[in-house]
Amino acid sequence: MLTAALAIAGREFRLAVRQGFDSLLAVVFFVLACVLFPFGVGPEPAVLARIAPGIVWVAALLATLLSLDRLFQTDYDDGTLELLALAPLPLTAVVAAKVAAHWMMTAGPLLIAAPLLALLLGLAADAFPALLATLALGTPALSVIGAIGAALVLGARRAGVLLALLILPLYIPVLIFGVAAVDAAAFGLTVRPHLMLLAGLSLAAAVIGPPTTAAAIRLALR
Amino acid sequence: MDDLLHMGGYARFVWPAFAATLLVLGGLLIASVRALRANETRLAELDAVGRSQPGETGT
Amino acid sequence: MHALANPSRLVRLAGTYAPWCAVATVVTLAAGLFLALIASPPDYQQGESVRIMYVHVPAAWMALFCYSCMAAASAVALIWRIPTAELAAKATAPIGACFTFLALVTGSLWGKPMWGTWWVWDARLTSVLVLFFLYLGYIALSTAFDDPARGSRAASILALVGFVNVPVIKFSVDWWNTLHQPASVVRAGGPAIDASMLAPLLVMAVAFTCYYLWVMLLRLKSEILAGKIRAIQLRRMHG
Repeated sequence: MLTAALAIAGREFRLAVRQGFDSLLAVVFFVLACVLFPFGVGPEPAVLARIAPGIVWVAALLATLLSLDRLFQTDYDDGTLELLALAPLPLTAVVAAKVAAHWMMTAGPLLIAAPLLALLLGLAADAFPALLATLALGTPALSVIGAIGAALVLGARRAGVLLALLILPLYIPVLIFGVAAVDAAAFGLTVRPHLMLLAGLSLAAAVIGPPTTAAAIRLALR
Repeated sequence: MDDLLHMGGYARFVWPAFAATLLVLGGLLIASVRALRANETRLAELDAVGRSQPGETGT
Repeated sequence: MHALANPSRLVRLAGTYAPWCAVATVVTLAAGLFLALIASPPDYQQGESVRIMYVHVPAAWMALFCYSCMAAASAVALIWRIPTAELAAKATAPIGACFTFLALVTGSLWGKPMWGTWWVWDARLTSVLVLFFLYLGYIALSTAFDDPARGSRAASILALVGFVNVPVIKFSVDWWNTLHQPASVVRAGGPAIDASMLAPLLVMAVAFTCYYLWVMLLRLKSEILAGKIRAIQLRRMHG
């Protein structure tokens, strides 16, 4: 079962690498969204440093959202998803493998780009490890929750906008705790409780997410 | 009566709150009743057509 | 239970009970408005502005109550495959969305004189705003498919996922120290509110509940009839 799951994750990686431009797009969007803020709120360094955690986190959220529509849609369109659902491997495991691959392909580039953007926005040096830690611990929750939404809107009209409406409200807790941790680090306070909460959110999402996503996919295939 | 309308200086806040409640709840009620009436009429029409043309198969 | 799963019997039940709910709504709403606006005393701190509470608090209760009903109906629909439960959830969503909207608007109108601001980003207000978006998402998802059954089933899953927000709203005032006052009616140790103010609050809550049942039955009946219309049209089209 593990080998089969790994094979599916491997397939996702190869697909993502061969369509390299697609995965790059999310990062380009992430960078662009962050770069918009100095123009929007003005180049005042104190203001930018204060809101830098929020900017980076909101942009990461939107970049994840942007990358979600490919998670199941292409496989749904060409019938691969139907084959995967009929395979001996439980659909929940298939979903878990796909989501894990999606997370690595989107969160990896975000984690590389985030320190550079934090540097540009003048985030306090003390907060850099916290920013990376929150992104590493929080983005799994984003991928897992996003997968539920992506599966629910399979075959819907205007799926992209609908996905944003369904998923963004559910992302708010992750955003709150992620930004709170970076803010705490910037003010020299303890970060640990926020990180624990984020990790807890990701773990809870990882438990609830794949079975729910699998149920939503079965619904779409019926 | 004047006291009631004046609401101790809070009329600006109290009356819009009650008005909004009645407007929204009333609006939803009217919309629901109209949707129900429309569906009832449509179903009655379809039933009537079905009974007057027994054995009809085409569109 | 099985009677409720049968669409035709459910239509008859809805037709029977809706008028009673209508009468109950009108009577309790009239009594509630009289108690709230005329018969109850002004608060010694908040003055007459406290009257906003008599619509704000019941609306907020109904926002949570409707979502709980929607989630429960969705669970029933998904576990026992009962399509009428899906329709009940679908009929509840717009009513819950309206109550959530009213809780936000009346809260804002109460917040301006009491806190000096229309809106604060505190835990209670934010989580209720999220609830409003969840309702909108449910409604959008349930109508986004060409096949309505597919839409309401997908929306049922969403309703269950979104249910995590309900306890967060209920306990947000206890978990975080915020501007919004903590619960004073439904709490351990009995209500911390005078009887002269509790009476209009409870009567309004009963009125809103009757209104919910009334409109829900109307919408449920409408949904079932719409399903029948679709079935007849499909049958005619395919001969």
